[in-house]
Amino acid sequence: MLAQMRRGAIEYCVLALLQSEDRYGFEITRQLSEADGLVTSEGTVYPLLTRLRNDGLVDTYWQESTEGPPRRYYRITTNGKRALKSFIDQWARFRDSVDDILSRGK
Amino acid sequence: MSEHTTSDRIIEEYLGDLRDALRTVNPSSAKEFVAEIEQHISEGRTSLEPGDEVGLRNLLERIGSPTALANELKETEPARTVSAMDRATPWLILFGGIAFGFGWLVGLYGLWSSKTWRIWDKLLGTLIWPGGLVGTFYLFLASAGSTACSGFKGPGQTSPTMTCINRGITVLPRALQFLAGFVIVAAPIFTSVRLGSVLSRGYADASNPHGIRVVRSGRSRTSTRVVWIIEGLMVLFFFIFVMTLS
Repeated sequence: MLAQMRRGAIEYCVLALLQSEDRYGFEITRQLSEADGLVTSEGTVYPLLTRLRNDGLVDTYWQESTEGPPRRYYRITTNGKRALKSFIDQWARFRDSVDDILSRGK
Repeated sequence: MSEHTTSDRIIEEYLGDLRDALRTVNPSSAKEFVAEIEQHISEGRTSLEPGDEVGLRNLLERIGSPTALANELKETEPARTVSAMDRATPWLILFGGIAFGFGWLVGLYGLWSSKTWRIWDKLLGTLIWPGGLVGTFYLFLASAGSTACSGFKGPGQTSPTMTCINRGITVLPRALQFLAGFVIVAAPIFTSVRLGSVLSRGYADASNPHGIRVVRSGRSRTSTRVVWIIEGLMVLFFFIFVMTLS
């Protein structure tokens, strides 16, 4: 249950990271793993990136790297931006409602 | 130099385990995923000192265990369904030859047009034996053995000198004749069972909507090797047998 919720939320966290700039896989996983309790293992982010791409929320392109082999960059699409905006609106309400209910139990 | 080799070995082992855990996933998705993880490792290694084995092990631990990664990928993969053609193919390959060979040809089409089987399975399904059990029947007829004799009567001889040549299975010792017969009949059955077993991997049903299969253990990897060795011996034996027919 929590794993499903986390997985669902991470997808939008990825979209949020990509809103400011295009990023490559390693960069995305590192950013996410720095947040407490969000990612249990870095490798599990890649299947989510694949799903986002299959759903048309991100697309990818390759770019040369000065530090090694070419990197696959992820870029948010228009559909991705729309999905993120919708999630942000709903998330605030959802979070407030859950917080409210949880605080009543104390 | 030896430090570098140790690091490479650790990575190879990790990627090998990952590929193994991904056997039931769509091959192209698995290949792409392994490439992503490989790239992740090489990115992570840039911040490590050469030969930093502890740092490398920490990096791999952060990435996650191959089993966990494979399960995650299977979760995000769309459910794999098995087509009716895929289901029918192992049966058509085995019994299709009975319908004047037409069913076997349909099975052959199903085998080669499907993405379920890899190239080696496709070759096995095609070559052992063409026509399936009907092919086996003809092979039996061919192997039943024959003896051709010719005579030559020289000057002063009252009876001709006979020279006989044995062809087919009869040229083999009795034990080998039995073994040849067993291999000829068992091989197509074994091949179809193998095709069916590959098909059942990742089979999606109500209780297993994503076609998730228990990750193969070292023991089952060994059994796969044994299967390949047996198949290889069967093919080798078949060619030796064909040589004796000619």
